[in-house]
This record gives sequence, C-alpha cells and structure tokens, in this order.
Amino acid sequence: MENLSRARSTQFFNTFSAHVHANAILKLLGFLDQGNLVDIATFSARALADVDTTLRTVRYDAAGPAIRGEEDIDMLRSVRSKLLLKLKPIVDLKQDALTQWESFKSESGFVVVARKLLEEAQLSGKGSDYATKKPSSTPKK
Amino acid sequence: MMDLVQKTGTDASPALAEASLHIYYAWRVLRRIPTKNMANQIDWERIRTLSGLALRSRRGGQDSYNKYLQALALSHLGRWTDAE
Repeated sequence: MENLSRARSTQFFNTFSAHVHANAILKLLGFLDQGNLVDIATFSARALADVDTTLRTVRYDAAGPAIRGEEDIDMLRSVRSKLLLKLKPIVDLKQDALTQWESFKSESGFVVVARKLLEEAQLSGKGSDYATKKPSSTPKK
Repeated sequence: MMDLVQKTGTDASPALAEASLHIYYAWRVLRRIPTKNMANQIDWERIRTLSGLALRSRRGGQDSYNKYLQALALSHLGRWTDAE
C-alpha cells in the first residue's frame, strides 16, 4: 500500500491514482478482521482523505462548475460512497476512535469521524453541524 | 479531537490536521453565508497552520488543494512572498 502511494507523481495531479488507491483499500477492508479497529480506521482514513482531497481539487467549490470531466467526479464519488457504506454508524465510530486513542494513541479513528461528520454537515447545510462537539473522555457503553 | 491530541504536547497528524482544515474551510469560507450583525471573520492563521501540518503528508502532486489553501491563507495574512 505504501508503494502504491509512493508510485504517484510528485509533479502532477491525477484523479485515477486516487481512485486506484481507494479501490485497493476498499478491497483490502473486505479481508480485514472487523475487530482490527486500528487497521480499518487507518486504511479508511487514508482512502477517504485521498478521495476527498482529490474531489475538492477537481471542483471550484461544492456547488460550482467542474474543472474536470463529470466522469472523473462520478468515479470518485462512487468509490467514496462505497467507503462510507463500509463504516459503522457515527456513534460507534466515535466510541472506536476514543478506544484507539486511549489504547494506542492512534488518531486514525478521529480522522474517520471527522470525515464522516463533515459529510453529514455538508448534507444538512446547517452551520451548527460544523461546530465542535467535544467527545466525552471515556466511551459510553 | 484536536484538543485531545494537542493536550499530549504533540502536533496533530497530517491526516487529522487535513480533516480539520477541510471542515473549517467548508464551514467558514465555502459556505459564504452573510451574517448581518455578527462578526464572521475567517481565522486565516488557523488555515495556514493546519495546511502546513497537512502538507507534511508529502503526497506530492496530490497535495495541490492543501497547497492552494496554504497560499490563500498566506496571502490573506499579507505574506505575499511566502504565498508565491
């Protein structure tokens, strides 16, 4: 997976490499044990970050005209939807993220939660959904 | 989440900084909702710091968006030479 990341050009932007990377991670997630929270969060966070950043690069803004073909955007949106479908509900993701932080000092769970919450805030369009909601320090059972 | 990480005395990871950056930018800059009686200032220093951390991921050509945000923040802070 690291080699796939390194294989990208440092000089130019390519939507296909982000798509290939995300698809590879999507397939890998299917093989991972569901109890392996850190690996799942690390791979999910990496793929979502890649696709989100790529989508933001190919658009002027959320509602503006595309600077690349719609096909590129559809392709990335499709793999993004599949990645989000693989995730647990937000309440469980928050709990997993705190567990990973307290046990392993891994930030990947927080990244997944942040990406998921951003998605929800953008869908709702409400400013209050973007504001900080501090998690409790210990997960609720 | 950023608070929890920073309380340990370390910088947030590039991935967490990038997620935070994208949330702040989508919330405070992209939404462009007029606020008549409320100050709606954009914290460009925050955008500069977060984009700097995000760029540590070294994704090369794939980092154009974060580079753009950093240059935008620097120009708003009056640091035109750095923005170039």
